Amino acid sequence: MNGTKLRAPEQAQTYWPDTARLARGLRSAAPALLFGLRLWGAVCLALYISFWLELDNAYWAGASAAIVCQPSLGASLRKGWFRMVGTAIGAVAIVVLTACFPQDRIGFLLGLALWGAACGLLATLLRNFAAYSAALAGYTAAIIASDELGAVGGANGGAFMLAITRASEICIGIVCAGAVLAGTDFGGARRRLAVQLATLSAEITGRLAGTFSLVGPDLSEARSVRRDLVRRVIALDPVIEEAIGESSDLRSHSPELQATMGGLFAALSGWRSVAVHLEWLQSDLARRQADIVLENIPPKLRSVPAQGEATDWAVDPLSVRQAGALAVALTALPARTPSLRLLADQTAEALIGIRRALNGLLLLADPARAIRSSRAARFHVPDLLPLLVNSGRAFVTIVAVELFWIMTEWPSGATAITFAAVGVILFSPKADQAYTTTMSFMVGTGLTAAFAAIVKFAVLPDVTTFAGFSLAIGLVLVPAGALMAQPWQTAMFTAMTANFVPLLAPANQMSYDTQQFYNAALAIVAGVGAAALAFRLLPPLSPALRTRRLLALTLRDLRRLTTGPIARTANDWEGRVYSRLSALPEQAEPLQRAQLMAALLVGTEIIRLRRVAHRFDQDAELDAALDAVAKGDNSAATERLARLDKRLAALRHTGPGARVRLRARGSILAMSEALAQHAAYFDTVAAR
Amino acid sequence: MNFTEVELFGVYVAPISLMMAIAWLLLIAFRRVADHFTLLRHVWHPALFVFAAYIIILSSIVLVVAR
Repeated sequence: MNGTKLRAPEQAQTYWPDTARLARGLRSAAPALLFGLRLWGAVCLALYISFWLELDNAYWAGASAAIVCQPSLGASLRKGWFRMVGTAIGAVAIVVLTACFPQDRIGFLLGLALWGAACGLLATLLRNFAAYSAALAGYTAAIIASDELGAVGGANGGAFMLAITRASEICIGIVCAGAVLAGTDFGGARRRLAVQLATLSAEITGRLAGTFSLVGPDLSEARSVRRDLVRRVIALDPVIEEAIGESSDLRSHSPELQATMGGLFAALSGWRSVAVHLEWLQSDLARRQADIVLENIPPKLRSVPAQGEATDWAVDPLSVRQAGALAVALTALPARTPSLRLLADQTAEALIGIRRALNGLLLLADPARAIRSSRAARFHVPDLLPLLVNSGRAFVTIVAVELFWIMTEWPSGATAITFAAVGVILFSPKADQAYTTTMSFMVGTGLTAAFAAIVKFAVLPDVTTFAGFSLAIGLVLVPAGALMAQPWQTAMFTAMTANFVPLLAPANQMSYDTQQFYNAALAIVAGVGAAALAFRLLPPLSPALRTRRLLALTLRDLRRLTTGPIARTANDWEGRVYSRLSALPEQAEPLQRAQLMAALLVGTEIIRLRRVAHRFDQDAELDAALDAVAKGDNSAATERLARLDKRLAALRHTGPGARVRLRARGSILAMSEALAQHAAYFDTVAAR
Repeated sequence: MNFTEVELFGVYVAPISLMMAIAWLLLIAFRRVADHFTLLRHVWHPALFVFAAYIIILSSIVLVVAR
């Protein structure tokens, strides 16, 4: 017997693939593959209709269909709608620009760069799909301009017809993509949003109630949970957009849905005040007061629900909302001390915020029972500097590529301008991710050029029917679409789906000119490369700098609240801080989020105290305290607030206004605690 | 002067594209050396510096070919 014989049975053993594992893999890949098929179907339909209508450049319809397709239905439909709006605005803009600068090359090209810069600014200012619409208005103008520009610049006067044709082709693509996606995908954004809203509302409510059971160091441990919840609330924004895109009945209720985020921020702010105050109190006093408030919270809201229970909130939000309404009675809780008043009022404010969030949940569950919001949402600009940097970069990039084109007399220079504008405007809102995303997009475009060359010169010459052509483009579009639906290198695969059809340039009478194809491919890659270079040379503000600026601007606005006319409500201030919270980069420290939440509370209390102090002739004392806040002198502010508290306490305990005074004393307490907790932030002198 | 088009897999490409590719390869080598001696840490705007170096390399190649 030797070693070879001993090993023989082992070698003969056959290893079959694990079928269960294979089936699991196929099941997980199925949605992505289905998306690839949908994208391919949408492109084929758009091209078929455009060929049937005998449009000039039918491929723009196919390219539009590919660009509009998104792995989630809501995103696709919303994107399609905004794309139509952006296309129309861009088409009108280029016609106006052409009319303003007839026979004037410099004026026209500078106007185009300025339009690109304006759209870049708006793309950063607006959010989600509205930002996409602004970006599209910019590069639609560039696409039409590239068609009408002569060899080295200057409009040829055919702008109006080109705008009509290009806009029609793009709209055909959008409608086809919408029809294919809506017919084959029923969407899940509405349900996803309902579940996320329910989970967040239930978790915040449960943890708020849980705070009353915690005393001592356990309270400070809840901080990290609260700060993570702020991040999760911020992440709701794109899901709301998707849900609005998917359901037409939600579109008219857009402000109510947006108000849900404000409600959740208010709830977190209230919870923060409660937790901070309980931390400051002695444990036995904290225990007694916490028990009083806890007794007034309905049992349904007292514990953190399990995952299944939280989903129940999404199914029947009305009953939870009614429980929340009962808890609002906390504002009428008879309290003798400012401390108890603070706990009751802040808990009530948190629950009012939750009730606002539940209004959104009710709207998602049953729009007929939706409660109209009385708050008018006002638009606030979180920070102007990133907008100016992005628009400046867009202007410089477009002008640089235009100059390069004019100086080198490159025949495909106009296409390079278009794709430079696309890259620099579209990826600007990605901030610190803009460069890597544009580079991935450029690599994807280069790969697409290779695939398009293979299909165009090796496959299509033997194809004579539309069915054969569809199968040929499916060889690239289906796998690229499927890969685009997974999280790895999304920008690269998006470039593959978006640029494949323009590179292939299918027409009723195909042209197989290799030189023309090479020039077009080079121009597209060079254009995207110019955009990537622009992001490298004129980089966006770093996340750390953006965060520091948002904090400094909020502090500056907070200090402005201490002077000037007294605001009637805190809505404007809250909206301003919510916009800054939403603009905080993902990389922001949890402490920095907490500082913004503290500023929100201090600002709200300043507005409330100024009204109350005016009513009870205590303006001078409050002004002295607020002056110290404005100067960043925390200890003086706390001391003067304590003096104001004493003066309010010295007034009669009965009679009109007693409850208002007690509430104001609660506000003073909340404000003093917030100032003390974040002294390093509020003492900053530079923001004054 | 030798700026004739170059045949690449049956397609005639502009000579500048090849020069750009060569300049890019030289730039990679230059960056490796700069990274090794941590030279880029002493530069105000590293990306701008590298871009300027690329333009210098490319211009030098064009001048050498044109001679």
